[in-house]
Amino acid sequence: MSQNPQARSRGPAAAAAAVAPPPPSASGPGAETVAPAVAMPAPAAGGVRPAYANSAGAPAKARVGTWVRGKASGTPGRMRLFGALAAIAAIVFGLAGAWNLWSSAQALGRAGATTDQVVRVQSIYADVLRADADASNAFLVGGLEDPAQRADYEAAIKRAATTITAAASAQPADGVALAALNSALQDYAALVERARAENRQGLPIGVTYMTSASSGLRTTAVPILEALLQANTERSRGELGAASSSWPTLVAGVLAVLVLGLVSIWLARRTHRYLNSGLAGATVAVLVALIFGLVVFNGIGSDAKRVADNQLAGTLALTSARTAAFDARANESLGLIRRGQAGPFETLWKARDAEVTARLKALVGRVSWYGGSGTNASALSTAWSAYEKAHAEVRTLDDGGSWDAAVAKATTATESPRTTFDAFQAASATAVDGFQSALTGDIEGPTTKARIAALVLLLAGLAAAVLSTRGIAQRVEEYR
Amino acid sequence: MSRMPPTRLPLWAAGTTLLLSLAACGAGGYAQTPLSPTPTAAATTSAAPTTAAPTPAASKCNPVPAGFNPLQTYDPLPSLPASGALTGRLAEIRARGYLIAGVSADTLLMGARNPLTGQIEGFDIDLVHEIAKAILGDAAKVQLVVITAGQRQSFLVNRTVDIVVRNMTMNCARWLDWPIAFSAEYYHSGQKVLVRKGSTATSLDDLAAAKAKVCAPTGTTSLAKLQEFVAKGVVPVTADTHTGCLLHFQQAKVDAITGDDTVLAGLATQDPYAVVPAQTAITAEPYGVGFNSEDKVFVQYVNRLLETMKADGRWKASYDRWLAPSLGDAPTPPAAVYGRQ
Repeated sequence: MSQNPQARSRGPAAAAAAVAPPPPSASGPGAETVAPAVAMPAPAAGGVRPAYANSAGAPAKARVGTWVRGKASGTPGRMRLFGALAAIAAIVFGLAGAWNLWSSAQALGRAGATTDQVVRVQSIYADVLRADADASNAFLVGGLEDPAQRADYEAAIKRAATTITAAASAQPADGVALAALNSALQDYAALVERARAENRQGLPIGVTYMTSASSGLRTTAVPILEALLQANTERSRGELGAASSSWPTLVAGVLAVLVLGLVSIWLARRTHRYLNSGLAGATVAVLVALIFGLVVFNGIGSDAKRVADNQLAGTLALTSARTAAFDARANESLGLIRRGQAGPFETLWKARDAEVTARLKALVGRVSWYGGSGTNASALSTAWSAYEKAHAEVRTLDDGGSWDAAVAKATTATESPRTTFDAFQAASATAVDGFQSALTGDIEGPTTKARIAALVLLLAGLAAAVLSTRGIAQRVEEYR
Repeated sequence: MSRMPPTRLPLWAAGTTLLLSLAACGAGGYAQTPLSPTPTAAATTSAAPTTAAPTPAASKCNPVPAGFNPLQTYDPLPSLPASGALTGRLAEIRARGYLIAGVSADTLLMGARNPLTGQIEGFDIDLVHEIAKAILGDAAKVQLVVITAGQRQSFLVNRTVDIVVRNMTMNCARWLDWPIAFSAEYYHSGQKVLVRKGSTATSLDDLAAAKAKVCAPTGTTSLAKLQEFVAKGVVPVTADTHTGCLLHFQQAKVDAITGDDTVLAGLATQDPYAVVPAQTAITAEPYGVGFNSEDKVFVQYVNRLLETMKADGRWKASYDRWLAPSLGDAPTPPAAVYGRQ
């Protein structure tokens, strides 16, 4: 084997050179110059400095090769080689553990961010259905719509549009879906305005535009919103799961301990001395750091599980209940608009009602409450029951042939579906806020822990590398 | 001391750079959110469900039985019985306290919701109120069920409604295949075409020559007639209702609409760019009140009422109010054909 390929190699030999580089002196035997004088690419490997390769570049290169060979040959040479291996193992452990923990902290942060996105999407969903309920309701009563209802519609559309923009900048991966949603919402709003304009002229085609807007909303916007909710919920759960994944630390740690142990044994056999304080210290440092890292990961895992099972599950239950509630409310209006044909809409209403009830019940039974001091899960259930009662009264009137009375009941301001629903939606909105901020707060602790632990593992790895190198150097000295 | 420290530095720097870049690499590279949820998600749409109309298996009207006259209905009762003497379906309606009628809410002039009052009104609706007034003594005791053209027969067969008064053409398939029953004819209409203002087309033949897209509602005789022109080049487009066709027309998705002259007049009223050019009707569309085929006495009862209304001027008054402004002076009310067994 010629000397050149060896010197140019970026493999283990180059790494060894990095740990045990040539002496700084440029003087050395120049006689051995057999390397070709061809211009060589500036070597990028750590220990070789371009400065050497000026006028006497090639000889310097050859000197390095000779030097490495010299250093690596014989017992001291092997000691240097194994010492380098031990140091690398320790550093790799430090880097892997630190990267692992740092990623874990990042994952926790992203879990919080994606949960925020879930809540944003839910609020868009709720606003879109709220706007539809308002717009549809305006066609229930004769004459011009109630100004308050119109204002509510406009506010809901505006909020939805603003939140879409915020959501798009918060999560680039949602960009395409949100752009499609934005366009669907624009189409919807345009059709509603058209419906309103026709309606103001007293033309029946206004209602046709309105129903076309509503059904278009449900075939274009709703699937996008469902996809957004699903994707972000999965991301949130995935990040919480990823935060406690500790295998890179474990693998790197066990490897480092093995390497340090084997080098110690080899050294003990060679030197007939049982203990090398440097290597022993390095082994202990790696072992302690490994255990510490795993303990931290275990803590993050249980914290993440607690957050997933309580704050995240609670937020999702609440937001799903709210979305189902708004859909139920919209179906109530559509049932009245499709005068005399409420049946299919009532079936949908019942399905959504069952979903709301089930979600709220799960909250009462399982999750500790973070929804703010003014509310609790059973208060939400009570508020929903009040709406169910008002809805049942409207249905009784309509099913009994009194459509006008049913419409009057549905649109008046006292004890109607409208007021009871508003009470539920306000209370549930407060609760969602509470759960969301509890989640954000409760992942801060483990995030900080993970960041500190990352630093500790990095330093421990470096310290172990220094210790092992020193230990080996001590023995090498004895050969002089 | 070893000589390591001075040369360890680049390695440390490389390590730190590596650590930071690895941490950055791991940051949230999510796949783009799809535009619809994966199938595991629960469906949450509340799109209006459609009632599947039972398709009559083998038609008894192909060919139409010899001597069959779709205008022929049951003999009217000799006189309107007192409310206490009502039997069958009529007694049920009386006991219930209101009449359930399937109507249109978007066919201007015939049955349409007035956006200013919220009330459904028109020529058909007047008739519903007259029937309620006769049975229950109060024209307001009515539950109007808004139905699409395609739902007219199935709602009668399933008894979702007592009667259908929704510009419904009396024909063989409806009499014999579904089967449903009709009252005597209460209005004589005919199928025409509505086109864009400035168009020279005045018939389905003209539109077929231009390979035009023509809209008709599903489940109507108008659509059946339109299908006959497919071979000549017409592209048929369907909607739930005639107003749905007008929506397509306004959004430039169709070039023309075909339907009964009464319906088209109502559509043209809503859009100054839609015109019904002077033309001969291509079909005869006799309108009758639809019943469940078992309610023979009910049909006879309404036939007596129609006779009375045509005679005492109530029919003409309603025509003058709704149809005269668009379709001209009232014709003689269509004569009833009785004798069905």
